[in-house]
Amino acid sequence: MTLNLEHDVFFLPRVTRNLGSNTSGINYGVLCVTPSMLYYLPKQIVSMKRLGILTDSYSVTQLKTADVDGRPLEDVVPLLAGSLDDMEELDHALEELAAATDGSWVLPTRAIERIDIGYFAQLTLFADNQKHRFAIGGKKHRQRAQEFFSRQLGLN
Amino acid sequence: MKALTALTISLALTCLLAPVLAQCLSSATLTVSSRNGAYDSSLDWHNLDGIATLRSSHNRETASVYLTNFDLTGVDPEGLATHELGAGQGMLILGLNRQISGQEKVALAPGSYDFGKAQGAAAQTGSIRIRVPGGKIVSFDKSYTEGNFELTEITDSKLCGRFTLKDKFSEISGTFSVPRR
Repeated sequence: MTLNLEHDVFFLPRVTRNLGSNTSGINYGVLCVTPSMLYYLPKQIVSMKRLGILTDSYSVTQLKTADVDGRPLEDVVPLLAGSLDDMEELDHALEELAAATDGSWVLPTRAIERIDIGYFAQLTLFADNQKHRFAIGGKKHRQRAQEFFSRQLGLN
Repeated sequence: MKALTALTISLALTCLLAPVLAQCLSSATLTVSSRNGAYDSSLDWHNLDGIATLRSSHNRETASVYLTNFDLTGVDPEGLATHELGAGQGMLILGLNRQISGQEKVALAPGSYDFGKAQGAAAQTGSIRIRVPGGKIVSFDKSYTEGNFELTEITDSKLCGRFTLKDKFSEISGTFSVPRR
């Protein structure tokens, strides 16, 4: 059994996380939200020499690192979902990837109290008394995000 | 003079307490607090059971230390990661990884494990997962995980350790002495 990124998680490449006054440049990343955690990974090439790790501690599922080495994260995440058996394994792999990728950002999904879908490519999450903004191009993708959070968290 | 006295007392206490801290306790203790929305703060962690499962691959050995607030008698250790939890039940899973590239046979060893680094970024790393009823999981953000974890003893029959770890949303601390499978 493998995970289906369309149904089991909310995955979207080419997302920007707006960091308030940070105007040093825009970097696209990938957003991946599981029922447990939200991961924002800046778009970077994965070096599997450093990440010779994408295995699960419980079952020691060894991924084919050669298939992942040197690929953009937006390709790696679907590969992970296709290689792993359950959500806990995907969470584990994403947790390791986020820890190994500078600029990554992680938030417990169920800590999100409210979401706001804007008209101009904005998705705002309210959690821990803070606003977290993402720029998501395409109304269809913002609607997908809204549906996912609504389904997972009962949020509107 | 006061400083010297304080230092002497401190050293004496360290010498006296060191054997106590290093020994493998016969039971486990655990405290958990979390603002992660998945966590049920009413879970009671006073009566613990535990077990450790170990796996080896070519350049690493991993262990999963399970601490549960319910009796594990009759539960298949291999299925613990997916074991369905009933009301009031909780499970802390501490994943340990010792990995040395270029070395063929690697075994887990006593010592500190870094829970703030990705696997491979240090020889000894760890991960945390708290499973709660309803299929919900409390994960930690490695980038913000602070504290320490020490595997104090590993034998053919058991693993012992102590830990105090936290990220921005959750905090755990405790000791364990669990049979290994």
